[in-house]
Amino acid sequence: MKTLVLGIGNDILSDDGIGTRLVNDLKKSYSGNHLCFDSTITGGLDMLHLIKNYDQLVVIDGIKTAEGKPGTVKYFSLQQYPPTLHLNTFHDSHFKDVVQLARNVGIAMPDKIWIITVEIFDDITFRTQLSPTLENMYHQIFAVTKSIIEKLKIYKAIINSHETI
Amino acid sequence: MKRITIDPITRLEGHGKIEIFTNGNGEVENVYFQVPELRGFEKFCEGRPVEELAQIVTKICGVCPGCHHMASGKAADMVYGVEPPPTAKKLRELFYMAHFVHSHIAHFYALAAPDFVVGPTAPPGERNILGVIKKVGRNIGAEVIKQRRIAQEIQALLGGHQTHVVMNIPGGVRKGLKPEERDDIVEKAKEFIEFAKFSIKIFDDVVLANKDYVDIILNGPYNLNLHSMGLVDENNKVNFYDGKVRVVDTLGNEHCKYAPADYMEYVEERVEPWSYLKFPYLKKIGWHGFVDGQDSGVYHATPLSRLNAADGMTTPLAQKEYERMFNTLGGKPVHATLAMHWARLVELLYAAEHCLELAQDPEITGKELRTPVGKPIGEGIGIVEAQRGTLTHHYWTDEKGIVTKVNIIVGTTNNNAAICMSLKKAAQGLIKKGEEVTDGILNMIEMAFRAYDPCFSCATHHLPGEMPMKVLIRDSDGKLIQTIQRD
Repeated sequence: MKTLVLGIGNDILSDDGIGTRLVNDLKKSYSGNHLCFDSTITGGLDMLHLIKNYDQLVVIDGIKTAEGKPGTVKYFSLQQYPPTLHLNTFHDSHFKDVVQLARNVGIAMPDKIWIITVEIFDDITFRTQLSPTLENMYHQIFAVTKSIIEKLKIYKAIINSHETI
Repeated sequence: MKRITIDPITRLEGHGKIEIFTNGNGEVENVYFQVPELRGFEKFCEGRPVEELAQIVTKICGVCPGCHHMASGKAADMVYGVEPPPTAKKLRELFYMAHFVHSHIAHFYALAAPDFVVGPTAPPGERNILGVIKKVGRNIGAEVIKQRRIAQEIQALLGGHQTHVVMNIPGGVRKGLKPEERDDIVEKAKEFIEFAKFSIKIFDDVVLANKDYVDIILNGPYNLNLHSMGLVDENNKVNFYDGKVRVVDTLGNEHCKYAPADYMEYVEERVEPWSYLKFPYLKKIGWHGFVDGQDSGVYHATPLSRLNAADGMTTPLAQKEYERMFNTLGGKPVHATLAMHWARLVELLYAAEHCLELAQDPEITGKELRTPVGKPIGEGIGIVEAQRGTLTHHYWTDEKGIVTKVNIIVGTTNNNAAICMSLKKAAQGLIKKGEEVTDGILNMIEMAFRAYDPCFSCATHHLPGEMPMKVLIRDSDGKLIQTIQRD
């Protein structure tokens, strides 16, 4: 069973890079484990070649919702499909369409796909750090994200509930 | 007055909002196209060695990182007063052709084709790449994925990474090309050419063979008489990587031709209070408002403008297609906004052919990869053609090459005024008094900007992370009278 944990985000654009930072830190925690880790800056069709041939996929991305509280971590199945920062790309194809397109043309996609979202505060300021708002709660964000990864690894089932801090 | 808001715009990188104001008679009075501003990139660059910027700028935008890398590399060459040796220059160009192939394929199949292959007023859930593949066949979907993948492989090989490109250093490139790697690229480039020809055939079969579509392109509310900008070589042929910027006026006569270093003499940027994005215009004509025509300073920098501004293409098949396009559309210059889709396919074919030419060039595997750099001269300007328009990077440094100031005019910024005007014209032509503003009509308005392939984020993401399009129609008191929601 091959599982990829994929972080998406721009690490020089403040909280936009939360997904890549989490993956980099998770990778240290799971050294030697069977989980694979990777990160990317873009969504769309380019994601296809990163995720093919895995059995399971966990995507970690930032999200910015109207009523969202920064630092909130949730997880979703692909069917629930949250509108994260990078999974919907208006300059390419949305992630859900990419997965469907790949399946339609016979490219092996993960059977199970989960999306972990982190509510962000600032993704329009260029800097290599997170916003102070998110930085101050990063250890909590990391802990919750890690606990979700643990759950997904143990139960190996489509999860329909939410987890928040 | 009614207020109609399209927010966010579908199939567009970066969050954008269209606001349409109608008067009491139901006629469109004005249209505002607004985008958010990303903060602090210039500050982010200041204080860094200029040679670092070529790597950093690839993260301004995940859509065209290679374009920023190339413009930045050229600006850094100028800062150090050097020209790359022929092999290095050709390697940069080779990378760049693969970058164009990669991008233009995505635009045609994922962004443009849904409007034509699936239909401009088809249900929104079907107007996407899945809908296109359903119409044209599964094997085409597989081929789209394959061609983009091999374009990525070439970029990764030459650029060090497909997105975070690291190939350019002042005076040249970091690494060369082995003969066996060259042979592989030759085979891939041949595939690009066949796929570009096939894509043009789809355009022929689906668009040009459909009288209604041709009528929309030529006679729909999508035409603007604008000046045309594009980079050209010494023979005034299209060149994406190098040369002079040429502008032809609305009648096709040369308005100006200038070296990148002189761009500030020809282009001025205007600020409007309602938009974060600037509005460049031709300095010698001046700003006369959001109007088209010979006396307006508004220009566009797009695949169509590049073909209008040039005297032709340097590769045989693209030249043939270039001639066919202009002959079909009534001669140069063409002012039909939707013809940008055809022009983009001409460019796809050119990029594919030029990729093959460069890969077969004996110098491409040369060993001289870098010209030794001199002392920084304090200023450098690099201009390339990005897929979305002429891209300018302008850096100022101190005597040690540390960046003190940065100015970047991205491709889409050139087209800001043109996009606003195209939207207004489309809205005026499509929204009729007493008729319901349907989702199909809104999509046809969006088609006006989608032709420009705009990319406003230059930051690899969109705001605020919501996909549905919400249309708000307000009366003259601002009271909400109708909401249309797309899921």
